[in-house]
Amino acid sequence: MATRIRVFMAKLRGLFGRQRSNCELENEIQLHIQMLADRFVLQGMKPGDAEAAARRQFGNTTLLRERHYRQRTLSSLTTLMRDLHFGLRQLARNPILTCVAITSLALGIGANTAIFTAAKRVLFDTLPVTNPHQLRMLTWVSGHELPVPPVWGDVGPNEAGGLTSNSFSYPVFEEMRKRADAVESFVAFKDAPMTATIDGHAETISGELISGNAFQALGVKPELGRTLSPADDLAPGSGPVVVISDGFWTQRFARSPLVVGKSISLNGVPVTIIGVSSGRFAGLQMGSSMQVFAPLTMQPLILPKAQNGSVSLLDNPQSWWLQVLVRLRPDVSEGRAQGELDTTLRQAAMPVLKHTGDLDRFHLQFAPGDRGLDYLRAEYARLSYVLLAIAGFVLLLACLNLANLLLARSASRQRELSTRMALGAGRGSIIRQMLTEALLLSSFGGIAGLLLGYLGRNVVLRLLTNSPQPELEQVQFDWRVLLFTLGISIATGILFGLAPAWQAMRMATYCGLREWGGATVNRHRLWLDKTLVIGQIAVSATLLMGAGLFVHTLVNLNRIPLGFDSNNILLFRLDLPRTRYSDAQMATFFKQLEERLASLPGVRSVTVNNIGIIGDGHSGANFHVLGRPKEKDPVRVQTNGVGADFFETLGIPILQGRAFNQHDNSTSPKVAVVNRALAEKFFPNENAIGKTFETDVVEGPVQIVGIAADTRYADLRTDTPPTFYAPYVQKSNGPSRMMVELRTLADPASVLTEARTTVESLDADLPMTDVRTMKEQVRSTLADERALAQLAGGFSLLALVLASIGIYGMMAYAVTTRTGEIGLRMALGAQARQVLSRILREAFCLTGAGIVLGLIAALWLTRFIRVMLYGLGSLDALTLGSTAVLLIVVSLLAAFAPARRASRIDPIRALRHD
Amino acid sequence: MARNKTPDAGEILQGTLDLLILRTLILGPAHGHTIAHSIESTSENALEVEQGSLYPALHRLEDRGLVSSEWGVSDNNRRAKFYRLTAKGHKELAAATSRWRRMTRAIGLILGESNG
Repeated sequence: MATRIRVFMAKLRGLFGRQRSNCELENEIQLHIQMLADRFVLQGMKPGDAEAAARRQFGNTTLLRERHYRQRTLSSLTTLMRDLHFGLRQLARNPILTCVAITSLALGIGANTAIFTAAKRVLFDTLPVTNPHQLRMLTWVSGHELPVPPVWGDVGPNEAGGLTSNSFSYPVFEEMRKRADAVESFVAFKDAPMTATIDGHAETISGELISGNAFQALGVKPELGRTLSPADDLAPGSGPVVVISDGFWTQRFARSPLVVGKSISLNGVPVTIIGVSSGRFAGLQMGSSMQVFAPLTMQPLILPKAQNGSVSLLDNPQSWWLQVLVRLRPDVSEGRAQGELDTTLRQAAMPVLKHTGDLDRFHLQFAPGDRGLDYLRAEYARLSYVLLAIAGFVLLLACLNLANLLLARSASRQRELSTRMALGAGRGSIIRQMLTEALLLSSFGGIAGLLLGYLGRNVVLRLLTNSPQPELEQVQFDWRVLLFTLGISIATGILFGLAPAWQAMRMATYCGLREWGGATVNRHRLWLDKTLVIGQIAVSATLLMGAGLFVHTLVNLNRIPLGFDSNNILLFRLDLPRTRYSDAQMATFFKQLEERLASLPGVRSVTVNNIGIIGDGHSGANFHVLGRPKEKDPVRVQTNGVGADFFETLGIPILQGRAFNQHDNSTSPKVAVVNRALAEKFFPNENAIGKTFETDVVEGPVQIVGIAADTRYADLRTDTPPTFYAPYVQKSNGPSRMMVELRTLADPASVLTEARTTVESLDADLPMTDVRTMKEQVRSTLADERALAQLAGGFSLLALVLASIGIYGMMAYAVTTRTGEIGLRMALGAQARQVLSRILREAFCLTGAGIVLGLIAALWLTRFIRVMLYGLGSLDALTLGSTAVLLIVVSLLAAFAPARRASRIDPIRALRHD
Repeated sequence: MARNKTPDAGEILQGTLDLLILRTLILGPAHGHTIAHSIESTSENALEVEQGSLYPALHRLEDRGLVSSEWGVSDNNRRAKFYRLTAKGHKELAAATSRWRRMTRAIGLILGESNG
């Protein structure tokens, strides 16, 4: 082996020091011949004869040099260098072709790089912690009946028809933590928005309560100061300390080292910053950047939850709210660890479990933990795949286009290739040369594309993050992206290099120097060329069709009647900390706020409500009409706690009965307004007004006093769910987190300053968040759709341009090669018009074939994006028709110039030329 | 690439040139001409070194680290490249010599038997 390496090194030396090595060999040969001659002279020859004899005796020096050269170089590398050199010269000889090729490749590869960068974050990135693949997220599964008390977190259906959730109670977590022999470590956490007051300024941040051992267990080091330790997390409220993230340190404290020891307040509780966590660690939720980390045991102070007469969840077995990650031990199998923790969970949870029939279906289950708490993938996976597919189509199109261009060029290089073959070049070496040139092009395209992708890496995200997802914005441009770009560059190079290489190979089989440019070859070449053009049109048709569907969806969504008047409404959110406000104080606060805001000049009316009307999520409640039999499972509807002027402010018509007014207060009889959907569902053939119902969010029977028109609720796509509105002052829970809506006379932004002053006059420590107009709010819920329509539209335009270049190139080439034939036809009496229409007809046929293929593909692919569309039938005739018409028009335009040239061929010159 | 040299009695058996070169160099550093001359004269002109294969052989040995080379001045004041046996070359020489001895003995045995 060592010897081999030495030989290889010698070869490398030979490769790069060829000049010197050759010179040395020359010296050696000369010396040898000289010495032989000397000897012959000594033996009595004349010097001249001696020299000649010495040369004779030494033998063939050229052969020796060649052998030396072969021995001392890496032949494959030299050949590669030679091919590259030759390829570069070829590219330089066709600057226009080279520019077109590199530009279209750069666009294709750049688009793929940019989208891959975004998709990688959504699909593949893992938590920036030590050995993330060892982590497991704890979840529990059950039958279809919720076995545990109220969950603060998510419960969803699982594949087995039961329920699953990742929320645990603190006492259960503590029990499991005692089973330290099953897993390496436990990390418990809870993410929640918090109000941080720093230097007297209040703002909303993302905070994570986290167990004290977490930083050590995850291998996250401090950038500054120290991280949390188990000692900070011993007893409730014992560790009023926090660690901030590197990002927050940069953004809020300009990376000042003085931040350690600084006192801030979280939800009004004073805490001390003890350190900054290092690097990219930003909490355990994928796609969300946590800014502050506090010990779990600070929960009763920072995030008090009133339940069972206590604000602490730490000793409350009834509240399931905590997420738990475990790190597996290398010496304990995953199955055993899961089994042991399952036993512990079942024992610890038994006292609070509801004793329903399928309690034995309640079990602990490990879920992958390398991405921590991961909503990102579920939410954006489909979008990412669709975008990747679109970008892939564009690249495929660029490949087809390049194959076409290179094919046309290789045809014009037939003489060169034939000559080279006649001189003894092997078929292999010609194909290698063709592929080298293609790869050279694709590498340049790849480099340019990487640059484009780097510049555009945030564009995709910015399009997507028009929505309230700013945390997506950090993109890592890492080795995986580079690898991806490298991979697609090589793949495209091979893909579009294959056609000309194949062509060259066929030529090698068919023709010698004599036959070049023969009719058979041309016909064959045109066949390949036509196939490529049909392919291009098919891909463009598919892309255009897709883009059309997305654009049409966006148009449909924008046309949806909202059910209220979205003009001139200013929105913002206030979140009253329960640390400082009791339920009664909250109600008073909002009452005063409504009054003061309503008296501002330029404000027509004001309301608050706990669920913003579009894009703010759901709030469910039980609904049972009094006097009807109770069903086994409680019936759930949507609910919204609103201010007295809610309907007037938003412009929602009251269809029947009355809206709320100032007399509906906490002591008056409980009332509700229902929407039309609820009235129709529960009171189909009777009048809903005057009926009473029971619910879990209002104490006592509630009387329906009015029916309001339907509005869109959580998003624009879903039909209005049955909803009842109740005055927030009558709901049993105090209004802590409310959306404030102001209907203004003019531009909503004009009253913002006064509104801010008004809020500060009531509570200076209260940040206003999500400030926007209702128009912006509605727009933001369509961010994904808009981004998709824009990207798909942009890409399909690019596709259209590429396809028209392809058609133009093909037709121009066809006309050139058939000059003789056309000349003959015209000599025999064909009219210019006939020639023109003949060429255009040919283009039309190609386009037609491409469109049919493309539409078949598009129809098949539509099934994968069905859920992303809105308001379209199974076959969107409008999109389909406009795609076909657009493509035909564009392709006829592209073919027109060559066709006109053909119709102006002078028969005499054409025939003489041939 | 057809060889146009006719086989000749003095041509060195393939593969043995390396051995002969190594053996020659044991006497001390030498340049190409000296090596060829030395082989020829030591074999009483029974072996003729084909110059065209001498240098490739020397370079091959050099690449494999069995000989090293340096530029020096020859007896008659010319710049010449001197080849020197390395420690590895010494070892290889010993091994190759014993291989050669075993083989010639074996061939001798066979030839002796068939003759007698």
